[in-house]
Amino acid sequence: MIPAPHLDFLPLLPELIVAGVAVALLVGGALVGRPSQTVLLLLTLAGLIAAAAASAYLWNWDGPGRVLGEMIQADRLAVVSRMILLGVGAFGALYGHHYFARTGVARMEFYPLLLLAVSGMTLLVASADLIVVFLALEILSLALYILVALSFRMASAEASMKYFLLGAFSSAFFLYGLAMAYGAAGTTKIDGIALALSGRTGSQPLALAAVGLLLIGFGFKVSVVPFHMWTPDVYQGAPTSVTAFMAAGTKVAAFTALIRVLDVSFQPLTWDWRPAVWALAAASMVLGSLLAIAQTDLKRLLGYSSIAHAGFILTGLIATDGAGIAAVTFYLVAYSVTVLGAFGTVMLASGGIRERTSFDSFRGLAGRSPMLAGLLTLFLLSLAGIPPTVGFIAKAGVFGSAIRAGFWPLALIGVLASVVGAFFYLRVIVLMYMEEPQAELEPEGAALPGAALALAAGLTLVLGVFPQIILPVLEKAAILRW
Amino acid sequence: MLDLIWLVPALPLAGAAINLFFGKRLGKAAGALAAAVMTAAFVIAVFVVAELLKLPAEQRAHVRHLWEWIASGSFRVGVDLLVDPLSATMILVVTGVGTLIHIYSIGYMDGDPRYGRFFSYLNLFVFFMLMLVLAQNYLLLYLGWEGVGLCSYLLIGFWYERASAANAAKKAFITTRIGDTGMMIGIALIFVKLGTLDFGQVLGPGAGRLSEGAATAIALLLFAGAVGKSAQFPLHVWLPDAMEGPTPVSALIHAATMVTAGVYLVARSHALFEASTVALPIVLVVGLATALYAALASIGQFDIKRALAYSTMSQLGFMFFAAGMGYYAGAMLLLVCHAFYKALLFLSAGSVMHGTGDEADMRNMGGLAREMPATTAAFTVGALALAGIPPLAGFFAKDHIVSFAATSGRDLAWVLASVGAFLSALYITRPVFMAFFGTRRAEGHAHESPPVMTVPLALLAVGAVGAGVLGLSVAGGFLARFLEPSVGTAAEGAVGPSEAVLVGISVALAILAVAVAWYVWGSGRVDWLGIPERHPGLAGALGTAFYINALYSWLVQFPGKGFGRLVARGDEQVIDGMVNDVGAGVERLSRVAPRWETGRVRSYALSFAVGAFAVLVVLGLRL
Repeated sequence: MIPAPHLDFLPLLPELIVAGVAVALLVGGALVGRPSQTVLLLLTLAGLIAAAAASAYLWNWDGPGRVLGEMIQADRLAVVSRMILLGVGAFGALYGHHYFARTGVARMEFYPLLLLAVSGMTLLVASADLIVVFLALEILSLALYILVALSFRMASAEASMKYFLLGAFSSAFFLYGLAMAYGAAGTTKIDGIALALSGRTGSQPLALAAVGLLLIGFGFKVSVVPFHMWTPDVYQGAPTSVTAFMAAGTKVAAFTALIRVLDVSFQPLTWDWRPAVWALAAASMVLGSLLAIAQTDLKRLLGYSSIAHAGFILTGLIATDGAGIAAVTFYLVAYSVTVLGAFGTVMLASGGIRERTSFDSFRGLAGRSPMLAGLLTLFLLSLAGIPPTVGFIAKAGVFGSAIRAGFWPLALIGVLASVVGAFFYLRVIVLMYMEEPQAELEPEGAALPGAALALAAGLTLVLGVFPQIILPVLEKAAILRW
Repeated sequence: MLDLIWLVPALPLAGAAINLFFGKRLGKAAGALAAAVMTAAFVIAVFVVAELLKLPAEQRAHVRHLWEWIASGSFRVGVDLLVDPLSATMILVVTGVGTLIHIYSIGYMDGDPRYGRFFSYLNLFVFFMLMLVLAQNYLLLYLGWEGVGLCSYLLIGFWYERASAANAAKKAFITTRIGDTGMMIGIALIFVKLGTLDFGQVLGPGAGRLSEGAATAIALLLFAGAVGKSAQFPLHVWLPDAMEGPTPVSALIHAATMVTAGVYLVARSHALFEASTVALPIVLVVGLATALYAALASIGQFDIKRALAYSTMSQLGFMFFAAGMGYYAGAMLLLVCHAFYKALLFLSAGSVMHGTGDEADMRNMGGLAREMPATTAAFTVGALALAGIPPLAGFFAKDHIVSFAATSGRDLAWVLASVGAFLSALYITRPVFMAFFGTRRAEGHAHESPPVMTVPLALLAVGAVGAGVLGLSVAGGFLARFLEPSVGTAAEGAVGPSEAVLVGISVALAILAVAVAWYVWGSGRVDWLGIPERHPGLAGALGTAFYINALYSWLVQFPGKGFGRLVARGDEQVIDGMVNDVGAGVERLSRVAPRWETGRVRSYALSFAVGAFAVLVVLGLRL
C-alpha cells in the first residue's frame, strides 16, 4: 500500500488566499455585471492583508523546512519577501484604482490580474524546486503581459507584445537551463542540486551550462544588460500604475529566487559563476547609467535607471554570505519603496490617459505643484543614493558586501556609475525647479494615491535614517537553511 | 531624569521643523514657539545637570544610547549622548544664553518677511550645537560640527539680497571648510589607528596606545578644525565679515556658542593633545598670537559689530592660550563668562542699531546714553566685565588664566598675556565712550528698544556680573572642581609672584586701560576722528587687521590668475579638445544607441541571443 503523503498546505496559505480572491473576483465580477471599482479595490486590499497576516504567521513556522513534496520552502526569506511583495501589490492596486478611474475606462479585470501576478511573485520567492520557480515565473509573466496592455494606447499594446515575445524567448532559455540542471544533478530540487554538485571535482559542463542558462532567464526578468532591451519600451508603454507595480514586484521576486538558485543550488560552483555575474553587474551599472543620460522621457529614464539598479543588486549578490543576502533584501525594500513613489508621482503629474511623461511636462513642476515636485525630488535623490534617503543605505550595503568579498573593483565601478546616475537624476530636479513650464498640465491631487505616496516618502526617509528598524529582521531572514 | 537628555536637542529640532513647514502660517507665533522650546530645553537641561550633581564626582558621566546609527562590520557608531561635567556646562550655556537670545530676537526680527524661517534656522542651529557638545563619539560630534557650520552659513546670509551678506556667508563656509577638512582627516586617522571613534575608548585607553607621531598628527588635525571654527589665526578672516548676519545671530553663533566649539573640542580631546609633546604648545602659541593680534585689530575698527568680532577672536585666543597651558578649567570658565558678557555686548549693539535705524558706524553715534539708558547700562556692564574690572565675571576668568601663566613659570607668556589683557580693556571701553557718551555726531533720533529686547539684556547683565562666582578661588573655583572628572586638574606650580601681586598688577592694568580709553575717546582732548588722516599707516594697519585679507586675496588671486591664464590656455587647447572629442563621441554613440534601440523585437532578440552566447562563453572559460 502506498502511504498517503502528508500534505501541509499552511506554508502555501498566502498564495492560496491571493489566488483565491483573484478567482472569486473574476467569477463574481462576471456575475454582477458592472461591479463598483471601490468594492473591488477593498476586496483586493483585504485579500492582500489576509495573505500578509498568513505570511507573518509563518515567521515562527516550526514544521518541516520544505512541504508539499519538498516543492515549497517555508523559511523566513520567503516570509520577508512575501511581505514586501504584498505591500507592492497594495500600492499597485491603489495606483491602478486611481489610474483607471481617471481615464474613464474602469477595468474590472485589473484586480484579479494584479492578484494573480502577486500570487506568482510570492510563489516564486517560496519555491523549493526549479519546476515551481518556472511555474511561478510563468504565472506572474502571463498576468503582467495582459496588465501592460490594459490601456487603449497603441504604445501599451505594442509594449505588451514586445514583452510577451521576448519573455517567451527568455522562458525557453530558462527551461533549457532547468533541463541541464536535471542532467547535471539528477534532480530539480534547489537544495538537491547543491547536494549533488558538492564534492564533485573536475569540469562540469552540464552544471555550468545550467547556471548560465538560468542566469539568462533571470537576467531577462530583472532587466540585466544585455537582456534589458525591452525594459524602457515596456516601462514607457505600460499604464504608469502597472509600470510601478511590475518594476518593484518583478525585481523583488526574481532576485529572491535568484538568491536561492545561486547561493544554494549552485553554491558549489560559486567561483565559476562569479565572473559571469561580475560582468553582468558591471555592464548593467555602466550601460544603464550611460544610456539614461540620453533620455528625454521620465518613464524611459526610470526604465534605464532600473537596469542600473539591477546591476547594483547583482553587486550585492556576488558576496554569497548572510550579510550579503541581507544587503540585497534591504536593497529590494529600498528600491521598491522608492520606485513605487517615483512612478506614483509621475502618474499624478503626467495627467490624463495620454500620459505626457516627456521632460517638457515636468519643466517648472515646482511652480505648479510644489508637493509633487518635492516628492519626486525625494524619490530621485533616493534612486541616486544620496543620504539621508534609504537609497544611500541600500547602496552602501551592497557595495560594502562586494568589498568584503574582495570585489572592490566592481564596487568602484558601481560608485562611478552612481556618479553618472546622480547627473541625470539631478537634471530632472533642475528642470522641475529652475525652468519655465512649457506644458499646461494640471497635476492632480488624489486622496488614495496621495496617502500611498506619503507612505512611500515616509519610508524613504525613515528607513534612510533608521535602517535598524528592519535590518535585524532581514538579517534573520538571510539565513538560508538547506 | 538623566535619560531624558535626548529631549534637550529634540525640542529645538521639533521647533525648527514646525517653523520650517508652518512658519508662514504661524506668523508672530513662530518666534514665541521657538523661544518656548528653548525655554523648555533649558529647564530640562537644568534638571539633568541637577541630577548629575547628585552623583558622586567620579560617577558623573552618563551615556544615553539612543540607537545604533552605523553598524558595518567592526565599525559601529551609535547615536549616544554623553552627559558629563564638560557637556553639562556647555548645554547650560547653549540653552541658557540661547533662550535669552531667542526672546530678544522676537523683538529684533519683528517685521522681517522671513520671520518664521529665521527662527527655524536659529532652532536648528541650537539642535546641532547640542548634538556637537553631547556627542559621545567623533562622528556624531562631526555631524553637529558641520550642522552648526551649515546654520551659520544660512544665518550669515539670511539677508541674501545684500551681496555683502551672501559673500560673507560663502567666505565663512569656505574658510571654516579648510579647517574642517583637516578635522575630518584627523577623525579618519583616529579610526585607522584605534579602530573606534567612541570617546570612552579613544580618550581613555586609546590615547595611551598612540605613537607620539600619530598623536601629534591627530591632535593637530583636530586643532585645524578648531582654528577654523573658532576663527583663530590664520583662518580668522571670516568672522568679522560674518557680522553681516542679523545681530542675534552674531551674539548666539559668532560669540557665545558656535565659535567656542573649537575650545570645547580641545578640552574634550585633551587626552589626545597630551599624548603629543608639541600639540599643546602649538595651541598655546596660536591662541596667544590671536589674542594679541585681534585685540590690536579691534582698536582700529569703527563698525561696532566688527570691533566686537575682533574682540571675540581675541577672547577665544585667551581660551586656547589657557587650554594650551593644560588649564582647561580656566578655558571653560572664560568660555562661560564670555558667553554672557559677549552676548550682552552684541545684543546691546543690536539694540543700538535697532534704535538708530541700522547705524553701525561708531563715528556717527555718540551721546546715545541720554536716549537709550537701558542699552547704555547693558553695554557698559558688558564692557567692564570684559575689561576685567573686579568683581565682574571677566575679572575672575581672565585673571585666573593670566596668573596661571605666571605661577606655572611661563614668564614671557605671562607678560604677553598681560599686554593682551591691557589691550582688551582698552578696545572694549573705546566703543563705550565713542558710542554712548560725548555728543551726538549725526542727525536723527534714537529710541530705546522694547522690553522684549531689554529684559534679556538685563538677565544677561546679571550673568555678566555674577558668572565669576563659578571661579571664586576656593580650591580653584567651583567650575574647576566640577569639571575635574572631565578634564582633570592643571598642575599648578607655585613659582613666580604671589597671588596678591598678580591680581594687583592685573587690576592696575585694567584700570589704566580704561583711563587711557577715557583720555583718548572720552575726554574730548584728543581729536580721534582725525587719527586716520594724521596716522594713515597705523590706522590702515589696525583697521584692516594688518592687511591679512588683502594678503590672502593676493596670495590666492595673483598666482591664481596666472595659473588661471595658464589653465585657460591648456583648457582651450587640451581639455576643450578632449571634451569636444568626447562630446562628438557621445553624440556618435547616441546616434548608435537608437540603432540598438530600434524598437524592433527581432533586433532585441538578436542582441539577447548574442548576450546569452557571451554569458555562456564566460562560463565556458571555467571548464
